[in-house]
Amino acid sequence: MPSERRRRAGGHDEHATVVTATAVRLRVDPIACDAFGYCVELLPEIVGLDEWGFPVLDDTPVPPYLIDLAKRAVRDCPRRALLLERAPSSPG
Amino acid sequence: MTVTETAPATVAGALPRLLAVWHETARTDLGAHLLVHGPMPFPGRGDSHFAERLLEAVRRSGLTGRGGAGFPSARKWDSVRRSRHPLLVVNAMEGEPASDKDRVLLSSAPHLVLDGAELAALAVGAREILVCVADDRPDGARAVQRALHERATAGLGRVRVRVLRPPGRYVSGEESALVSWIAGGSARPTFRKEKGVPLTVRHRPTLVHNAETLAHVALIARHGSDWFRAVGMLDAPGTSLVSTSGAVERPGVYEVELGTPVARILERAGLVAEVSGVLVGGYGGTWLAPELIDTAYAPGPLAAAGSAMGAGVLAAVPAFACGVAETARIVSYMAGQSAMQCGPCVFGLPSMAGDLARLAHGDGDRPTLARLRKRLDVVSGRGACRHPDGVIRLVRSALGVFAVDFAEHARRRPCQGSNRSPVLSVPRSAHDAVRATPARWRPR
Repeated sequence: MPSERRRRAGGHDEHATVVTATAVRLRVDPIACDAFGYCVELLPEIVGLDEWGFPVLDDTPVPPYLIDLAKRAVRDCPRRALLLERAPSSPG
Repeated sequence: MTVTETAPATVAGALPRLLAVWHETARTDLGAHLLVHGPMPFPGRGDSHFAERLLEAVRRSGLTGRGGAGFPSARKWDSVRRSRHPLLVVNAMEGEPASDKDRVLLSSAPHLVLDGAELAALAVGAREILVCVADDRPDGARAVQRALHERATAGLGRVRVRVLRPPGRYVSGEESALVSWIAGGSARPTFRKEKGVPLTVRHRPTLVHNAETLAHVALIARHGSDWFRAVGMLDAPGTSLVSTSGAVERPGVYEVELGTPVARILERAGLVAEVSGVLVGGYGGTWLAPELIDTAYAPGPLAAAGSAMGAGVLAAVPAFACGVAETARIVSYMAGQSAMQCGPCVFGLPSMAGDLARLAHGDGDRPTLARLRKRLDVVSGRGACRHPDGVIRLVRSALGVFAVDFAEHARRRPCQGSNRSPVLSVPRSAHDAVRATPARWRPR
């Protein structure tokens, strides 16, 4: 699995290192995203799709039971367009 | 910081301020500038507190950025002050077609902008100033070059200034696009992973200021923050440049006290007809309903009316024109001005423009209108820059202000005005041809 190899060999996966125990949310770099749709396949619960095939994310934290899948979506995105970032502690 | 003589421009309540030199002397040269405004204050030998004093004066003045975002200028300085070799960029790109204030300011008061840029550079420790004027706006660039030459001849100018000519497109004046171009990349907005971190050019933190903001800095440095606050509103002090167009006899740039009612500004420009709406801020701005035309022109009151100053545009659309058709045309132009980077913008804006065009021509029905509303919600907030959001804001406000017209159009009963030629003009840019097709799209 290429993503596994990259993770072990590099050890500095910039997208994955942000992940901590605190609440996180998914964000997409819309410039990098080319609508491959892997994230929607992996996380239909939290990633929507617009009529042109691009992912629609909201600002809500990723539920704990989906964190591992979210990490995988970040690693497996062919355009490296997904990132997990700390969700703001208080709204606003 | 002393004033050599009491020229009218130094009297606190007197207007215009930014355009005083041209107004009083009908000249734009260095001599006239010095006559009206006096010399630029600069740190004396061993004056180590100059930057602090200037920063404090700007902070107390309450000056906010005049480029659209309206961010407090002093806070912007704080973000780069302690870093090594920051760069100062003067943003006079003026990608907004309905705006003319950067050109007017650079042409009639270039020395005020350059003073302000030098002062800001001294305040944050920048040793280089880059003045960016779009390559399709030659007047402003020529005026700055001439002014720089005058300053060099007179032995003025303490910071190195270069004039750059980035491509003139709607989004190339966006802060991150401008910085990307300066750094050798394309003039397109970039994705910012973290917000609130200063942009950099080769690791040098880069401060981007609108030209008008810096001209205000030059006046605050001379006359102080109390002078600046003597006009305008308590929470929105000072003056601002407004580009008026549309149903006015004397379209052009006016310097107004913040808080002046929108109607009064338009009357000054010679409002000729009853309006069906006023476009506020620019082509990525909002429509203001005619019943709200007495709203004070300032961030707070405009926000309460669902609007914003944006790039300082007021375009009046007369009652005989069709608001649906005007909006459709602007959105179609804006779709063509996308940087073609983000899917939601690349596909979303043309689809909205298509819906609007169908409605404008009487080919659309209620499902078209419903689809348009849904697309506005879906695309909102999903670009790397605010370009799509500006368009969405415009269309949403149009749906409110021209609600009756939209309903009629959706019944395939377009109004009389939709056959007329539009009131608001959209430029035909030479750069448009390049972007006919999305650059990086592949079928799934």
